[in-house]
Amino acid sequence: MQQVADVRSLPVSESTFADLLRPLIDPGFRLALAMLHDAQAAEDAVQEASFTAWRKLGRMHDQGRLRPWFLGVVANTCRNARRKRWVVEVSVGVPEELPVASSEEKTLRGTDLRRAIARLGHDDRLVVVLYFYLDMPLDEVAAVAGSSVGATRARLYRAIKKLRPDVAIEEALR
Amino acid sequence: MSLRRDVHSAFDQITPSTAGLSERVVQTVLAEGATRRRKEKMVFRLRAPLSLVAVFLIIAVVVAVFIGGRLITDWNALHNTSPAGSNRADLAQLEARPLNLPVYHSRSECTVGPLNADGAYGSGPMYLFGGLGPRTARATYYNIVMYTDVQIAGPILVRAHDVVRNINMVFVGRFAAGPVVGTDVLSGTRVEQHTEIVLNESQTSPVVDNPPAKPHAFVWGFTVGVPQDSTGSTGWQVDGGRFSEVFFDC
Repeated sequence: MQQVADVRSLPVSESTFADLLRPLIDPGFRLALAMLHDAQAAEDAVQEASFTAWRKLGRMHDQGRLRPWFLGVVANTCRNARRKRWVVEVSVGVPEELPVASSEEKTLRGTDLRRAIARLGHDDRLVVVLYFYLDMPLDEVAAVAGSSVGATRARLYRAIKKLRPDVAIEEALR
Repeated sequence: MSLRRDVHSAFDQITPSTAGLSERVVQTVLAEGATRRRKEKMVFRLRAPLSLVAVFLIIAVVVAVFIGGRLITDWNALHNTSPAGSNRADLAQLEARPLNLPVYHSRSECTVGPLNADGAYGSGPMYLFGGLGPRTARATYYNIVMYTDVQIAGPILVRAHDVVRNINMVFVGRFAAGPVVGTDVLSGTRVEQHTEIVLNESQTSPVVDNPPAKPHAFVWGFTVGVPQDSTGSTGWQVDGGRFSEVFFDC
């Protein structure tokens, strides 16, 4: 996991902001892509979240928690983006044409899994993406989701059961 | 394969290259951030006054609706006395008129009429004829038709009396008005017996059981009950705003 500099004592100048933000863009984009399934929309979401970060960074009391906070902003932006384009999303769904394809079977399996994740509710999808795709520990996932670790664990287990009903939780968590 | 590897694989398939993305995003923020911040501050500064304006407008609309409603009500009260209110007052005046019906010692003293050329009771402007209706233990009922060909403003009050025993006739069904003096059951339906009939030219009977031979401008159908202890000699008084008419059926 990438470590974010503790900036509690630093003034948020342009250069500081750029240094703080740069390492967050890639996880932010991956999160947005996994939430929205659309690269352009994901980039827009990250850009919008970055503007929010620029505006609010100076007001953060604990800037050491910048990464979960920023990813939380990205998640909220994604939620709003999905609300705005829900009609399109419902009709189009997960893109059928994939930019990169390995073996046919792997591609089909990936498509199925993305579809299954896309069908999850926003909060379930968020914890799955953060935990399994961004490889974040549960406490940080909870911080991004804005809930307790216990509630996040329960949500993650429920989401796993929806995705893999036949697989034991312990096995799925590996 | 674990779920984690599957998820990675699934999303890696659709993840484009992010080379240069961080720099692009950061530079865009730095270039446009200040402008956006100014705009947002302006919007924020405007938001509070706009909210106040919106609240003020809502209050103004509510007050306008309230005052407008009151003004319209007052205007109507001042210039247009309500017909219902007017009718009630006119009816009260008619009901206050005394019955000019005699009380005879015997039926032989009673004289039928007056009758018009069509054989209907009345000297005008109101005329009446009837046909036998249902009979119960309490009364014999007649289906009455009343008509006129002249315009009569306001209510028309119809009252009837046994001119020998001084007993009130009773009225049931449509147009029956005044105090309830009893009940009866007609065709399986419980009805209330009233002391009078109130007619109005704005409410007539489009269909009556035994229609007049000739068409008339205003026709009403109603039911009168002659109590079983009545002699059957009845006097009728019909009062309108500008007339009072009496006739007898002996």
